[in-house]
Amino acid sequence: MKIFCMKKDLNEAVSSTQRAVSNKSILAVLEGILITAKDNKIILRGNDMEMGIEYTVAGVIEEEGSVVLTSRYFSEIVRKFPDGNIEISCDDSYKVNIRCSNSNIDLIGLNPQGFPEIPSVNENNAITLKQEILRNMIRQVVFSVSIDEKMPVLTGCLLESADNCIYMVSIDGYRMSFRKEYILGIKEGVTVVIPGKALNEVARLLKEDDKEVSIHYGKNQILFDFGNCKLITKLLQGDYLNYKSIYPDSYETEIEVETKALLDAADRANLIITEDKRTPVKFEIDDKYAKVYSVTDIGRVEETVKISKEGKDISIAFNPKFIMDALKNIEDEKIKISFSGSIGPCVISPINSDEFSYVILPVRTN
Amino acid sequence: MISFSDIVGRDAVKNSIINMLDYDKLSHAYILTGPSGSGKKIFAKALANAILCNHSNHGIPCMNCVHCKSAVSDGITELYQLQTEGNTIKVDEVRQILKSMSLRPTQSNKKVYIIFDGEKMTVQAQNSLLKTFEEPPHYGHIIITVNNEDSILPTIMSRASVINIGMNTKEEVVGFLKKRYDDNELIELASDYSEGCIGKALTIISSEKFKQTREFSCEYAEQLINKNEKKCFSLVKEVNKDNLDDFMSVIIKIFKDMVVFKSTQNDIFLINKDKKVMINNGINKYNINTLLNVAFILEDTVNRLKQNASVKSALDGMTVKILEEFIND
Repeated sequence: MKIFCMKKDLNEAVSSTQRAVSNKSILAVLEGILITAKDNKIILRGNDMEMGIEYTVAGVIEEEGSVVLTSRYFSEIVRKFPDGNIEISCDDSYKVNIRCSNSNIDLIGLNPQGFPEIPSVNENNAITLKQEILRNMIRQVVFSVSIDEKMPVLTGCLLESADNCIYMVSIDGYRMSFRKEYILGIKEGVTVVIPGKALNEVARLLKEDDKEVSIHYGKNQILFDFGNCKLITKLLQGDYLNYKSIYPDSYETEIEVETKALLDAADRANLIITEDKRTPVKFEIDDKYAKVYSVTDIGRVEETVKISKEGKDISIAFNPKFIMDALKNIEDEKIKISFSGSIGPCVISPINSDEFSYVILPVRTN
Repeated sequence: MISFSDIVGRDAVKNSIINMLDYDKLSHAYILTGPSGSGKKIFAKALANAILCNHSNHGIPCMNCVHCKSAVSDGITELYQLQTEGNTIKVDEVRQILKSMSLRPTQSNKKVYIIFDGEKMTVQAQNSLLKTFEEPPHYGHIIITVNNEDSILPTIMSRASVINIGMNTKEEVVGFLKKRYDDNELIELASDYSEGCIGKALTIISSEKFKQTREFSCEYAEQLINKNEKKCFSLVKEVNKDNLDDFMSVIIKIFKDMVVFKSTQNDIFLINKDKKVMINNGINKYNINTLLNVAFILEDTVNRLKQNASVKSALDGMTVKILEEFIND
């Protein structure tokens, strides 16, 4: 094998594929990145048995072939090379030579036999949407996937499509994130649970531009096709919670507030809260103002935020992280928060739509 | 790739498992029990391959599907194995392998998890299995191999199908060994000592340690017969945890030979044919009742050792009692 590519292109490809390579694996080839040069295409591949990433790099092929290089060294080498043209060649005994300007590196490669193929997923089962939309959807939902292994299905996000809409939901037992996007003519009837870890990688690979991403889903796995890059991941097994039943039937209090003002107030109240003590941030809501305050051994922070309110006055406490995670990912200037009593769940949603909602359970205070 | 056709004998067990496969009546969890060296590992792997192959026929993998192809080339399969080098299997190790259970299989329609030496699992490790045992995904199967059923929690036992894989007949062991070794005398000895476990027979036939221990045990037996107490006690000191099991099994077989030879006067039943001189010496000196009493003493000692008695005191006690029997004869 003998190939030439630019450092910038190769670096991007290697750092992307590297995300799907595990440092410790039963099979030595899985600790490496597979480089295949065939049919005028240079393809880099990583696979950790749960997730696989395939990246096509622009370059010139002088001789076809394939080899596996240990990801740890290969990625560092490429990263530290100066800008310019990189030449990678490999002989029949998988001895690899990498050259870039004046440096010359020999690496021992591995036989690519046994490296898992990216399986084909039914081409008909595909949904297509803009990369930016999917990126925002993931970003606004994925932070609340559960990290508790006891409920494996909750370590993933639910992706559903119905009624010209695509939905994403994640629940971790204390909070729920829900996001909906209206896409005319989207293929309906999808219901899959995608591991949160893989979705984080998907978000990383998505670009903020007009390009499209197509999602092919099968019974056991799902493939995200970004054009020059593909990510495939196994799906989680199990019935996802019926998230619609989590919303309270009625609300006692509803307020409207500026997102940034409330986020900043919660952020400042969080300053004196240490992770280990888990002191909540308290909210006291009356007709015109919400008093946001926290009291710990270190001191006391209090701030008032202007609101407009309907319903009863209320006093409620939250884990500051939950409130902030939700508010940070909201782009709307003003939001609606609906409370169902001081121990019932509270729902953060946009004022005039149902595009997203965050349900957060309050902390019980005595 | 290991399949049921690689397993010698044990037709009843094999057929019942193959029937389960044929009628698609698989349990989500199996516990394979049997003494060490009886072939639990090979059974577990054969069962796993038969489950994972999408077109297996009477328990024999098709060798053509995704699973078979990648299993043959040591590639990636949906078989996850937990084998420990240490003395215990900790809760984290079990959690680690079960973590992937919730991800759907891609290389086959099923996923199989094998935990070898299940008796090494700590109580916490076993408890961490419970949830998966109660509601496994439809594609998941767990196989645990166990030497000693008593160390598995009843809550786990009751949720799995327990299969005692049994042992081979002496003829099967001999037949198996004859394909690999030439020395008939050694084969005969190994198959007698193996108690129907091919694995055990193979260790006996190939290990120098067993031969040394056997010579050592015969020396001890000889000194007992000659009532040379000083020598007996100094020999018994050299027994340690490593060779204890072999030591006791050899001593028991020697005295069994004496009892059998004394009552039948026929040497075809002898296990230790090469030690015939010593055995003859023993039966000439002592009468049958004494020899039987010695056998009881040995049995009692084995039981005490199983209950974790100190090796030194148990063996010293045994030596005293046997010498007493011989002196009173």
